[in-house]
Amino acid sequence: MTRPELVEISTREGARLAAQLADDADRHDRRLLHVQDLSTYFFTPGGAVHAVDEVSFDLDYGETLGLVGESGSGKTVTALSIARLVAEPPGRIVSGEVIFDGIDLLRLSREEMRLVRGRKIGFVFQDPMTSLNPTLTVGRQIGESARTHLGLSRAAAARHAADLLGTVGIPRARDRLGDYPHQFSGGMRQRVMIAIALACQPMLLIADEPTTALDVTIQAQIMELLRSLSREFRTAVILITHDLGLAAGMCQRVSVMYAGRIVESGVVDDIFERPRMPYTAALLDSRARLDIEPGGRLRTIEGLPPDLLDPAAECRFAPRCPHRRGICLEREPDMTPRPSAGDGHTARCWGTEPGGWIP
Amino acid sequence: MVTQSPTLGGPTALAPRPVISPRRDAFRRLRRNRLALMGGVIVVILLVIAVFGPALAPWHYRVQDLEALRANGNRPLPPLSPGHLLGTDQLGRDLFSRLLDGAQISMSVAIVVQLVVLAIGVPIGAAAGWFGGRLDNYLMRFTDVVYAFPDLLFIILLSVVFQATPIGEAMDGLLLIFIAIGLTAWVTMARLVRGQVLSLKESEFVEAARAIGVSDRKIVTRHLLPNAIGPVIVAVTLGIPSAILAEATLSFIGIGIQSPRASWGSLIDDGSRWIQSEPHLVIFPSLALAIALASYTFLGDGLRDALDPKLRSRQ
Amino acid sequence: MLGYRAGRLDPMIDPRMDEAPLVEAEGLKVHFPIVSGILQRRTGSIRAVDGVTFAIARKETLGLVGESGCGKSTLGRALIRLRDATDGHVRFEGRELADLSGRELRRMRRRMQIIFQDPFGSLDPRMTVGAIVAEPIETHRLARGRAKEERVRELLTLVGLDPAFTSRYPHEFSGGQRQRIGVARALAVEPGFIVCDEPISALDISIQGQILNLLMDLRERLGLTYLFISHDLAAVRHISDRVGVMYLGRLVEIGPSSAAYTSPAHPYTRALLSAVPVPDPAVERRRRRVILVGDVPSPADPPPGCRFHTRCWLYERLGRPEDCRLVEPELRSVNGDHAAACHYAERAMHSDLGVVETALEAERP
Repeated sequence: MTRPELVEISTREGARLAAQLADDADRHDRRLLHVQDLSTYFFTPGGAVHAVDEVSFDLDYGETLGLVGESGSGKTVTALSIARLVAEPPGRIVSGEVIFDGIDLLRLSREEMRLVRGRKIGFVFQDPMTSLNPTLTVGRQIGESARTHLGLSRAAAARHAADLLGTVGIPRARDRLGDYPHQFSGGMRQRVMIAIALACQPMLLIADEPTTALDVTIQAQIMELLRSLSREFRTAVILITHDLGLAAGMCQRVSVMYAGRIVESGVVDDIFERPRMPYTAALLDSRARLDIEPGGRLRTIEGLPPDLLDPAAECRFAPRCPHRRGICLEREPDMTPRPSAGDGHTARCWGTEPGGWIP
Repeated sequence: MVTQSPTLGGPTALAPRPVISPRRDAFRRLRRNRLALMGGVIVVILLVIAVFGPALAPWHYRVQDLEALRANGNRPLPPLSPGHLLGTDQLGRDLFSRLLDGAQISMSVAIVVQLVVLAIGVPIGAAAGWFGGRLDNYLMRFTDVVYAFPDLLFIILLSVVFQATPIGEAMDGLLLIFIAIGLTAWVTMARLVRGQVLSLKESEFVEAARAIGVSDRKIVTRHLLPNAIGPVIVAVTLGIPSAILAEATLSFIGIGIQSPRASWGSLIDDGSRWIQSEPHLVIFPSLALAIALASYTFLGDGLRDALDPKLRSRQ
Repeated sequence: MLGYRAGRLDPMIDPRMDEAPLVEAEGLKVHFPIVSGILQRRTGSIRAVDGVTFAIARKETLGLVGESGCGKSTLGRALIRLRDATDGHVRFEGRELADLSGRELRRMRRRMQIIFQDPFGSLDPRMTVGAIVAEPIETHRLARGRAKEERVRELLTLVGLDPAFTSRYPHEFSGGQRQRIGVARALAVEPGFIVCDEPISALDISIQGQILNLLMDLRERLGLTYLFISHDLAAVRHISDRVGVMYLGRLVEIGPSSAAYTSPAHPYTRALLSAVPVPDPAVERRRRRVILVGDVPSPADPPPGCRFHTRCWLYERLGRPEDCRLVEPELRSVNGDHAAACHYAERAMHSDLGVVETALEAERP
């Protein structure tokens, strides 16, 4: 009997893990991830492209953070840098620190990093078809990481894989372990990806545009799944998306990226109700949305994002900003608190700093 | 009614810079590729040698320097002998001159075979791709049959059957060999062109042209062919080494070039009998062959990278 | 404004305002054969569009929404005969498109055009922007020489591009700019009807609004009729007078935008609306949503009866009534020109699932 309004989640492992994570949380404060001044450049014949430029943010245990931005804003490269998956060359993490669960990931050896990646950080990419190996059964692929990292036997890994497939909502999970990726639909493949990412019960799940290739009804299923999984297992999630709507429904906190920089950060309600960076506001207004009566023109952002090859010293949004003044073109503002908004709300804008000209 | 509207009025900015056509862009990137550039230069040199080589050669390819041979005790002259830069063979013929003449044969293989390949492969591939359906099915099954047929057997059969005809006698029998090689080599080209046409036919810009009302003939000439030509050029360039190699192989096993003329392949064949005592008779023709093959391959690879639209530079 | 001459580009204002629709589809089917084996035997067919009837009035914008594979793009192409219909009728200005000869059809292409989704694939990479926009003018012999060049510049200006761009190549432009070039090419023949096939889906968010605004401005200025195909429900509502919802090759709901979005009469429409994320955390927490289970069935083998019953929440809620499994519901009016293809459309309408309350823009902080 299917119950369309519910997505079933197995909670067997959940309780145990939640307890364990709660212990972890007590040990290290509440902070799982601390990223400080992370910069990743791509070295091209034309010069260094500042894809990620002094990005800083924190993530608590079990928290969901949205990293929102348009293509080329650096959100994906930020995530890849955290997991040290940036292709070298041409890319290189040039500075910064990434403290994950008390360890600076940028100082680990390749081998140590590999263990962290499989065991403690799970990845879900945009295109499940290219991230799955077409020649291996999904059972093997899910079990593989559990066998390498958790040292499970073949039989135990198979049982584990079946549990996980059930957890991510694949019907008749046990029967489907022997199937190959092409035998699954796009949405089901993404569930398989999530099962692989969760195989070792990671503390952090990085989901990079996990639903961009999927239809809206399937997207809703996957989002519901991610939401309940992160609640069940208290897994922290970094959701990378260009869709502000997804972030609004999924995340506790949101960081908006533009041209390699984080330009605004805060609790989700603050960001959406009281954006303090004109770019965020413009992004919210530039798209038709269901909760606003249609009619008339959309407010648009004119022009194009700047070239990240040796970016100028000005505010990177200034050339497109309707509120810009002289100072915006002279110096780039820092991320500073906006006490007028909620707690921990920071923005990179001269105009909304105390005494600024944007109301 | 129409007042200032920002979207319609404000032309979106584009930094002023010289216009770069796809062709010029490709050429620029080819020039940046050292290996391909070197290959290209050597190919040009080879072509010049093929045309003027026999005229520049110090000796005629079949003239025997019997005096020098006798002086050397009837043994092939070693390299750097007076008058014979690379020495002579066992009959006293100048190896350098014979290599220059061989270049002409190798280059004519390159050209004739690729002409045959283009003449058959492009129309068949284009027709199969463009019309699709049953015609495509028939043409491709025919192509499969040709592909599956043993090349060597086919070439031998053909050269035997047509030996006594005018084609069989043209160019000392070489033309027939070249055509036979071409007849086995067009299959890959047909498949390539078919694939190109198929994907271009489904592309949105061709669909846009159909929506505009552009006639089929114009769609083919204006949109399909110009876009398919890059990969074809690459395939032709990369097909040349295998054609040269095929001729060399045939000459090596004794089909093809008739003595006293020699191609690089038959030179290697002749020399291999003396390989113990006179290794230079194998080494120099092999070197010439290797350099030619490598040059075409480097040039072809360079062209492929330069013409790949995905790699097109935006700066 | 900037070389734009209203007289030339404004031919569509028709004082008669006649009642006849501009485009009509009646029982339209487009099936694609599935062939397999070396003998290329036909083993089945993908029923991309499977019996669709509707009409688009002059100067109206009809939005078409649905998930990938529902047949909306194929339907759009069949309306301008870029795909041949397997069965049924398509009439443009009252003329049966299937009856047109090749030449007549090519001439008819002046009246109907298409804008594509992919701004990178829809422009020939080897042609300059000038040549791309000039191609329709040359094809229909609308202008030559200087006049042609002048017209190309005029069109580029009209879509918000610098007319000095004519000698540049598509790869030098951004996605939004390329989409504008595609719009200029479509407008070159002065069409009355344009199929916009996902014209903003491939663009960055900040650019989507620009193109949407452009399309609305042009519609107003040139009196255009649009079929606006998109999976972005919010964008469709923004631009459309009426909306059609497709599922597995069938039109399951059609009606005025306001009605279709505030009181959807098909359970699928409600599910679609539920799935659209709203960039307001407060709304997201408050709204009642339904999440569909499972995937869209294959269009080669649609379920019997109502095609949606295998995923339908209302079917479950009503205790799986037999008629949903057995009888395929026809599109029927639920309120004036608001129609839905559901046996229980009235029940579906009395629900608040999926609907998002709207605030007037002025009321927002």
